[in-house]
Amino acid sequence: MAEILNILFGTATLAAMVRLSTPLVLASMGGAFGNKSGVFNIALESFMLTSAFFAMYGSYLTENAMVGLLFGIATGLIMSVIFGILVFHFGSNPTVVSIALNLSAWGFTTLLLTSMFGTRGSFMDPKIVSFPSVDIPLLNQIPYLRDILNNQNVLVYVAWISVVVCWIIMYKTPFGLRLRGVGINERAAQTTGTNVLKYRWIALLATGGMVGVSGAFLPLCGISMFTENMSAGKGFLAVAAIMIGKGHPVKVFLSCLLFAYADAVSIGLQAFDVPSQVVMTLPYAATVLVLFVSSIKNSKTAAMEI
Amino acid sequence: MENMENVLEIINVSKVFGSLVANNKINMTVKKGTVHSIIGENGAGKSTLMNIIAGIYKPDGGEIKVKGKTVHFKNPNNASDCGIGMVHQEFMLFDDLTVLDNVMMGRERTKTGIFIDKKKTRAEIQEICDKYNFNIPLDSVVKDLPVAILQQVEIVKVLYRGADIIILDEPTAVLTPQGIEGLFNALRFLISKGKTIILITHKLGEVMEISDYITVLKDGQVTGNVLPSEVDEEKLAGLMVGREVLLNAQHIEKEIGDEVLKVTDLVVQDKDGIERVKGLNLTVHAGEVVGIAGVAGSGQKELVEALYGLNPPVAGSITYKGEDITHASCRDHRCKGIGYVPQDRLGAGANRESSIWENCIMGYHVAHGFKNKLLLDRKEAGEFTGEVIKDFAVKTPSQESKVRTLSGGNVQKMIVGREFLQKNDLLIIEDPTRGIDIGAIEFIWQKILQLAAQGVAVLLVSHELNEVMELSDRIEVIYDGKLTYAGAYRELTEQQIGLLMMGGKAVDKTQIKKD
Repeated sequence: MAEILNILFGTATLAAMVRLSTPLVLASMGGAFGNKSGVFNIALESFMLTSAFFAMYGSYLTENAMVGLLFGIATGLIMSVIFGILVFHFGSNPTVVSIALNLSAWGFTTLLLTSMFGTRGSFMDPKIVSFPSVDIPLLNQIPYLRDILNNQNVLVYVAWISVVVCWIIMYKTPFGLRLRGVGINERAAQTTGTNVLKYRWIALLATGGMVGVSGAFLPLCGISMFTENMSAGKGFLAVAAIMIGKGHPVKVFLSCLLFAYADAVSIGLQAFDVPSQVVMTLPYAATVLVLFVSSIKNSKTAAMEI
Repeated sequence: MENMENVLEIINVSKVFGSLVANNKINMTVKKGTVHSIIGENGAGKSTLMNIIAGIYKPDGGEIKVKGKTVHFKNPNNASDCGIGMVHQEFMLFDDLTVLDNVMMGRERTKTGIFIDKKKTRAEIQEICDKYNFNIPLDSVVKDLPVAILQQVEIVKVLYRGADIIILDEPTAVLTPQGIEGLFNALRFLISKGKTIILITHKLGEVMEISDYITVLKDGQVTGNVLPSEVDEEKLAGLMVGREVLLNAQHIEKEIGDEVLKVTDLVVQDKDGIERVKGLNLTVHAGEVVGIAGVAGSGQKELVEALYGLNPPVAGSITYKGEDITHASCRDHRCKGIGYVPQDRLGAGANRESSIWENCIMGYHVAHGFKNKLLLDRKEAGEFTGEVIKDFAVKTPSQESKVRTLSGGNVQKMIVGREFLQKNDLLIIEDPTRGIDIGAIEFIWQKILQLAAQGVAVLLVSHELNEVMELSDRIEVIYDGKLTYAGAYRELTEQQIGLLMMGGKAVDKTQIKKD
């Protein structure tokens, strides 16, 4: 019993939750802008995976995590530009473009992995430098919280700060107000003199940049390696979190924490005699459950509109 | 009046879309502090002209002068900077945001250039509201407010943007008589403060009531620049349509037959589970037109949805020719001979992306079927479509044209034609003439009355009180989900019915006669 409690509420699990939530939070904060601008973008998975690869490559080239991060961001931006040109300027269906990008990203990064490093599966090298973890003196004084929040990777704190920054941008600035306006009623936004395309592009680039940071976190969070399909559905989880939170940064953040918690608990449960396959479905089962619960409220409405 | 400043001059303005000349050398002059009405049928070029003035379209030729200076608008912001603001027919509002956010959108006052200064913005907007007598709740979310208030929000929005010339596109289409009176009072007040109003409308009575000047457009050309004192409604209608128009429906002598529809103690909830129809009773007889008037949102939508099986009622019963259809599906309704003209013609009434013939046989294939059970009988479909096009004067190049290429009036004629020609015994008609031009209105009104004369039971639900009054043999007013009897044809005045629509007490019949 104590062991179960420890898995559910122990500092190890909660610290893991914080760590695991980071790529989701970073990606979904960017994606929230896209969501609020009214663009249906489920290509975050591909943005994240390609960014992860090039972030690893940047760090490997220069032995500097910061350069890796910049490589990641640049990759995220390039991916979003591809998405934007296809969807905004060529009028392609965003869902189709997203699926195409998501499917190609896996193959593309795996191809690069073999052609550049001559390896399959995973690539590890001392030249890949990760971001350091940070010791916050003040946090170190508080028991319990200290074990959860302190000594995390620097990007973990960046992620948490980004939630506040996103919320301020979205709800306290003219930019955020207009962006939300664009998402609610495109034509009305036009009549207020808002350049809808410009706002959508800015939101898309913000998505690309933030997902780039998120992708960079994956190989540079301390493990200093890249593995095939490293994002492993985290981009989709971020999309789910955005939808559950309806693009509101705080609600999206809480959804991310919930998914990460399920993930963390499943790691803890692996010590028990539970089939690992069952354990590994836990985060995804949690996603389905949350989506189910959050949509019950709307289901009546939706049924009416059919 | 001659010495008044010309605040807006349109000189030889033309606009061409492909082969269509939407505006052909339009000339008009708007004077400061006046209400200048622009009237014309759909497709006459009113909206094009307004979009040019508001900077949404660029003219292909001609000149626009604002306060004596020639202007070239590249976008709506340029027009707005010159003091021109437009209130669109479909409100340009953001449903999920508050009134305050809606008004300030695009013109936010900021602190240190980064953050929205809500206090300052609010104070400015409140000042405008106070100055021009608008009483609107700034913190309410827009989707919870009634249309009359939304319209005020739109007007405040353009005033906040510093507009001196305010263009209102069909502003009265959604208002009650009292709401229209309120709007006109507001407009008169705005004029007294030196603003200029350009009013686009179909409704001639209103034009005569409020305008200082009238410009009539027909087929992209100005057919008249007149003063209201020089003309009457018939003459204006003549200028608009190019022929004489009957402004009143011609009632036909007919017999009222058996009860066709009977609704007993009906209770309907909306999608949020809120009761919108609260124990309503109604009967419609063969050959009878029963009109339901009411302010938008009084339960009309839910009532009609329940009657047509779109939203099953929570309690009560609906019988059609003695048969219980309370829980019958839409399909059952069609098969039993009940036709439906929905209010939202492009959302519920037609599929924009499919062709005319496909739209015409929607429902027909269920109710009547084709000789060949497995495949579409294009010949029969084509015949029926041809009948709709011919009998209802739908202007279209071919049966294959997509519905989205038709004007609103033609789409409506097509839907009405489809429902009317299917030999139904009961028609449920919602706002059949909303936003369509006077020629088409006249046409559809006549068709409704003809059908009733042939013994069809008609339930007409309209937000247009005039329409209900002209067509109905019996008028009911819906208020807060309940019906109140509002007299037979021509029994009560517009004001009396308007009062009932606002929840006033039923009028004592003896008093009417004394009046």
